[in-house]
Amino acid sequence: MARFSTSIQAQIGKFHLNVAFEMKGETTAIIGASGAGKTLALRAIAGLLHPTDGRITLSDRVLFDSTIRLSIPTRERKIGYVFQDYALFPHLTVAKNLSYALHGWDKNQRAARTRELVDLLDLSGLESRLPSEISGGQQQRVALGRALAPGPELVLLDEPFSAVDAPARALLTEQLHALQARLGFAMVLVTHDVSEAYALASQLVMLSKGFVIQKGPREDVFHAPASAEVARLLGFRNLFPGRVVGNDGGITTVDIQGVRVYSANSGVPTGTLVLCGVHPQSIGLVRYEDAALQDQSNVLSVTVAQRTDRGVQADVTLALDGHDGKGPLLHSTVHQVDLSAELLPGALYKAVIPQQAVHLWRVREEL
Amino acid sequence: MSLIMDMTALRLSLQIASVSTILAIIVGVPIALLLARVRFRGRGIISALVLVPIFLPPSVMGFYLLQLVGRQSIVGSALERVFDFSLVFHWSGAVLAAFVASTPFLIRTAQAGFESVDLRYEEVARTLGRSEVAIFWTVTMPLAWKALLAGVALALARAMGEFGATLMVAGNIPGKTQTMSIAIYDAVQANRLNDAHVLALTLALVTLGLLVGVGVFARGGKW
Repeated sequence: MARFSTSIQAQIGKFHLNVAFEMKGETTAIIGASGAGKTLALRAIAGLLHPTDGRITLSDRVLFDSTIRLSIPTRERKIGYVFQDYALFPHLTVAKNLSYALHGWDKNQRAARTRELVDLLDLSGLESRLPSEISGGQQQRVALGRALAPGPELVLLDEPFSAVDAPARALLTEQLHALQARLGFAMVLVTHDVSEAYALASQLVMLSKGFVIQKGPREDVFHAPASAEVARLLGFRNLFPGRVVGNDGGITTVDIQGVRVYSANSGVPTGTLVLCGVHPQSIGLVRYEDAALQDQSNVLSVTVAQRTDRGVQADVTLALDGHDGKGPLLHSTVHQVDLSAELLPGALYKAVIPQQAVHLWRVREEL
Repeated sequence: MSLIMDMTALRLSLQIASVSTILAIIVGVPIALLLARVRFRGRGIISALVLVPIFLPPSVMGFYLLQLVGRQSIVGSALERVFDFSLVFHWSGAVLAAFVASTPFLIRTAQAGFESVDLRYEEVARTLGRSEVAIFWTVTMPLAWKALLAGVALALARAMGEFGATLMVAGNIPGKTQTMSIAIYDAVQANRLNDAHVLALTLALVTLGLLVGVGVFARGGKW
């Protein structure tokens, strides 16, 4: 498995990029909002952008080192790059696109490799088509195959899910897993879609305004977002300002507009202003209060305000009872299998939030 | 007017325009590529200078070319001393005039063509391990060649029709430097209107034929 490490700084106009992470094989996802510098990071790794400082290594090769003024040109880095809109050569057929990197190969080997890629990427029958004559999903597979053709140790994917629909996403995730298992390349992918990153990557690098704000194994990042900013990127739609009013036995009590919420993520002193975050997937909805839940969970009486079905899951907006609709609104994501026909606007429910799922971040006093 | 002379003028026009266009390709394409792809100091100035021959009146251009290569000039006298050769009153002088007048058209069109090729194609080709030369021939050229060909067609048409500067530099020597354009002028001056008609129609048809030929070639042989 490829070992990869990057620690670079780059200045692009007024934008400063400072990205450092290491990976051993498998997949790392760089997550950030648009404009966070995700694509710039990939370009720097590929050698299409020159960092001002830093070092990039892939296995035992040094690709970039500012201290010895070393920068291996892009064509010698042997890093596959799948562009966001694929950038397939419009004048070349699918087969020619796939074999573009195999120019130095023996004719038979090249044909064999192209056939292998056609089979692996399910492109059979499309070999002599032009990119403009195939679907978006097929184009993406051609771009992936083209990048994989020369057998790179590392493949960079820029927003691989942005242009494909939901069923194609699931398929692509499976295909990437299968290809990776078979060909043994490492991946760095860039995305703003947390669920896709989660499905593919074992490591997350959270990027904001050019800086890494958190990195680590995906579970660590997801279960302990270091800041509200990370939480926002991870899809924590429930973020409420509050004040810590008590600390007792490892449980922190927070007051949010008069609502008491208990968090098992302690360590914030009483009196501190905090931002309290809960991921929509951590909010369960039950019809009747179950005594067994109450121990480790917050149970809040809510009224369903809105329900938006999104295929496999539904987003449910909840109004806290006793606030005349002026209190904080909660967002919950409910999976289709858990959805009941009664979960409609106006229905009364109990929102169950495990204490472990309530995250607290200190807020500076002036805010 | 004899038929021989007529043919000579046509042959001269074609000869001068072809040589001038080949030179325009050799000099113009690299300049177009440079202007389209490389951000360097003085790029704006070079971009502007390239356009000068388009805006300059042909007589003014001819005059300055004469200043540049005339027998009294540094270049002209050196050429004469070393090679016993002069561009003035020689068909090569007409080539020079046509080249200077037509190359800007090729550069502008080719530059636009190169600029229309998305940089990402070249970037992705680099990530696939190909050399810059290979990328130029396998990616940039195939995607820009129609614009390039349009530029060549424009340059060729301009060279075929070049008159003012050619007259100033190469003069009007029947059989030696008298191109079709100049022969038409000559015929009108001498009140040989029938000759002028024949010459004008011939030049128009030949030029049109060349352009149609280029267009057909660009479509891959289809009309």
